[in-house]
Amino acid sequence: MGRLWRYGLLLSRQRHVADDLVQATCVRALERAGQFVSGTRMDRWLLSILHSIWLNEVRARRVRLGQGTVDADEALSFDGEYAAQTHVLAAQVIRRVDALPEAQRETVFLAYVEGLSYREVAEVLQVPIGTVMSRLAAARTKLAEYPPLHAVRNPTNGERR
Amino acid sequence: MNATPSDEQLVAYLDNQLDTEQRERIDSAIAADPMLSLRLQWLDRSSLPFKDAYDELARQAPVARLQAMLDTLPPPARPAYSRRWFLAAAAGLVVSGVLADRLFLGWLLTREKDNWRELVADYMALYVPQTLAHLPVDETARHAQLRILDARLGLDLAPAKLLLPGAEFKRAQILEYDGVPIAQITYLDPVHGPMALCIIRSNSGRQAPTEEQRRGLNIVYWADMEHAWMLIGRNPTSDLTEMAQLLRSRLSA
Repeated sequence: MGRLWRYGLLLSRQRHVADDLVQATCVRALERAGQFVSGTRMDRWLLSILHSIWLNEVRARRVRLGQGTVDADEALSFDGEYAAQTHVLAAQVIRRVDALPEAQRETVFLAYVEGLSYREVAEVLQVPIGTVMSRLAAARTKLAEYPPLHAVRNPTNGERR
Repeated sequence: MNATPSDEQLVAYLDNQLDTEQRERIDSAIAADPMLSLRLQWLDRSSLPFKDAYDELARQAPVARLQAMLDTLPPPARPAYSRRWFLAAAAGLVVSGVLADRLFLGWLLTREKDNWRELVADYMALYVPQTLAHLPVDETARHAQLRILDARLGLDLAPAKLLLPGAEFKRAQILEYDGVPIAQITYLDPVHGPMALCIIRSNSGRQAPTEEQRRGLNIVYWADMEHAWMLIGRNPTSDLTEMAQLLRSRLSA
């Protein structure tokens, strides 16, 4: 369920919208359980349902309402000293991904986070494989322009890198 | 002479999404053109630890709130499931235990309801230790879970009455098929794995503890005037029978 939620957060960049997306996805999945195709993976099926709800319902409504999206900093909250190093690296990665246009963002997410093949990404997003390839190439071109990730300054050992 | 590979092709190369022939073509193009090798290195700068970062994010998902929300969802309408469908789906069930339960119960709807023990055995056969291992053990939650069972099935369950030797109480929840609620109390036995005590309302009369096997699981079932009970697990039947006697003596008290 955390996997569904983070996809919802990636798309919407808002926690409460991510919550709603997970709920709507589960309701839809239960209604349509009969359409689930035997032999395919249920997690992929759920991701594709979430994607279509976002595309057809939530995003359309939000655009009409003229609401903006929140900054990526809000997405990851840091609790004290817990794994600060991991958090800082993770936050940098997420911030960079969040800065990509939505179509590239979700393609990067499905391919590199969920580990789907190009064909599977194309099926979830309902686009041709060529579109997946061009989105990934465009996203990687942008991501390559950032400086390397830097680790957090460690007070005892000095700079890590 | 090959055309220079595009960024799309180079990215697909980095992502290992090309077949052998395409790969070889790019390998030789790179060997012939140092600029192409630089371009590939440049693109590869974008290979970030994406998965680690988002795994970190998933750990912050409000799982408890989402689970609570899922518990309030209505049971699924009767869809056209098949056994094959469910078993295939079970392999992919990494998303949510609760959702899995709901979907499974949707599938159960299509089954004959004359033998609830068969249904439970089908269900329990899918449990592995990992299904239960990470469930938090929380006294308050356990009480709340049992109150729900009490209310739905007219029971009077207390955690102390349900303790079993060796097996750890993990979760109590209501399952349902065709409008018939089934109480499921799951335990994790360190040696034999998942175990469950399941209860439905039944007025077909008392029945002394009886042993049987279904789907490779051992079962001891019995009934009193209002409920039918079953204990199911991979524990030896003799152990289950002893546990059943313990439960019967406590629960009838």
